[in-house]
Amino acid sequence: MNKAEVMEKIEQSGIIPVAVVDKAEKAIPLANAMLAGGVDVVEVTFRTEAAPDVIKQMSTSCKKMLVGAGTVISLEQCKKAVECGAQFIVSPGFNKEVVKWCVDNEVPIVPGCVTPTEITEAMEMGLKVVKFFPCNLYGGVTAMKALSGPFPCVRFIPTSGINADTIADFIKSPYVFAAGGSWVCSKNDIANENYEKITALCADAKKRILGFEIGHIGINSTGADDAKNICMDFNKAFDFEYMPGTGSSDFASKGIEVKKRSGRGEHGHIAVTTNSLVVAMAELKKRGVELDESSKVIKNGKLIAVFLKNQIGGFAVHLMAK
Amino acid sequence: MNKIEIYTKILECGIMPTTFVYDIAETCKLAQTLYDGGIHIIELLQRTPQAREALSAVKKAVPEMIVGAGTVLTVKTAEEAVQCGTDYVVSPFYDQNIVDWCCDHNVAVVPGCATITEVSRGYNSGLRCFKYFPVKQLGGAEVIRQISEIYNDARYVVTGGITFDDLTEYAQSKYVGAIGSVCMMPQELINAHQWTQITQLTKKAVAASLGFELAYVKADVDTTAAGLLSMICDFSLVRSKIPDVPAKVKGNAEGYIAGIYTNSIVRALAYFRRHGIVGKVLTNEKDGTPVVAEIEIPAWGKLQLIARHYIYRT
Repeated sequence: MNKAEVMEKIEQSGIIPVAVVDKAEKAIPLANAMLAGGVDVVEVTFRTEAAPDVIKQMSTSCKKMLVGAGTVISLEQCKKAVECGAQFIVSPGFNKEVVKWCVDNEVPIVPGCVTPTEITEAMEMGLKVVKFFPCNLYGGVTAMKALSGPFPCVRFIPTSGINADTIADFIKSPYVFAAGGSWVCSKNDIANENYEKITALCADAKKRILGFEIGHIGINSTGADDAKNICMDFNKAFDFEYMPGTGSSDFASKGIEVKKRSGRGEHGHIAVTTNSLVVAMAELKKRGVELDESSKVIKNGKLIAVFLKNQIGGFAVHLMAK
Repeated sequence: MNKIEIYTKILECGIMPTTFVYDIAETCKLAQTLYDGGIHIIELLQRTPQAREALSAVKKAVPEMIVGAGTVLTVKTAEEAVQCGTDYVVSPFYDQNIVDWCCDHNVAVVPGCATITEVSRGYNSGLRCFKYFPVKQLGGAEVIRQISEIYNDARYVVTGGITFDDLTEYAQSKYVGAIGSVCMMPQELINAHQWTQITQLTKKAVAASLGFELAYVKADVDTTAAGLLSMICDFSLVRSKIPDVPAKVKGNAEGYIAGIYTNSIVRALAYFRRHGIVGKVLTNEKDGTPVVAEIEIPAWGKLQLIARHYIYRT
């Protein structure tokens, strides 16, 4: 996997679980537990002596898992990690020596940068993704939003203080590349080999990252007058606000879209919203659900919607960012 | 004193007050007052014309005092401060030139760091003691704990508007080496030469830094001993219920009259040593931090000292 592919896989995961693994023999059962929960990226921290062996075992035996090394604070550790098969490096701070070595050797590196000065140093080395740590103590989403003002090309991997309840808020933010966290595989759960719990927590995290919900229902009509009449029927019955659209649709509240002509889908369409289109599209692919690439709706250079190739129950279905 | 001894003194004191120097005689008096109250360190901010000269003057007036130079912004200022006999150098920010110069000249330096990147640069330069400023705005005691999960043998001098109300929180942190605070010497008390009041406040700050509290006491401890305990540790033994021996030290509590919690074994042993009471460390944590110690009071018996963070996560 090349550098771009590794970064793509991290973005598509949405989460980088941070694992403190105390014993090498736990490497494979842990990786399998996470994979069973739908998480295929892990950062093994160099906070334990077992870390190099854990990385080695995971990267040799669990090919589906993207294994990175975390808490890398010296060039020596960095080289060791790569030698053991780590596919990306995460360091808590910006260590120029480590970053330079990684850049020179085509190894993806995510250094911790929390000030404009540190972000500038990372940009000078050609990096576009940095770790924001400790996120909760250095201002959280608000701070990253502020920093993305002067650095619109930089995206963050926030770590610390993120949990099941807050991950959706992070993933929704466009300047968040992926979220780091250890709640899905806590030190205790790994130490006590609670693999079923780890699988369940990974699956739960993935669900929350995806955050699939019904966004709206699309009704096909025969023309502009028909569309207005349909909207007014909803208004009469339920007081749903009639919102005439300038484009191809009118709306009866945000939840009902009425096409001014016959649209996609035998019966109409359903929009499913998600916290991250990137994560959702990758996940659907994994689940064998095909997308209609030609249906992508791009606004201001940003993808905002895409249809599934096949209808479900006579309805066309499209994904939409929240 | 070499730089290792200076760093040790900083950790043993646990409080590192800073002051502007407007009048050298007044600063000398202030240093003596702090010393008498139990704080043996003073950092003179190099922001006024008299500040440099005050370094040698204070050292001469209070020879036992550890005197540092604060707000050192350039290598030149560091060099001048060392010529005037400063024991250590503090910069408000992380400057590699100052750090390198100090390391090359065996001078104790405590550079200001505000991010993990800055700490890592100092750490890679061989330093293990950093100033974290402004701590309250940049994550408080929790950020120190998180950084310490990465660099667990570094210690921090936390600074920035720390009041009496904040002292305990920081003093209880295992990773806080010293608290940079001026809460014991408000400028108006210095201006008014209220030395007695400053001494009292200094004692209060020292007590907060040590954080002595009764962990357990043997039921048969006599009233004289109880009185002595209360004098040494500044706490009252009048309690309706005698606390149980904490499970973690239960097996080792034999032969002690009482156990005392403290925020820091290093600070506590230094405190007792100054009072002529010797002690020794019995247990260290994996990372080398002492967590259980004992002191012996002649003609009375042994006391066990227990680091609070060893029992409760702080």
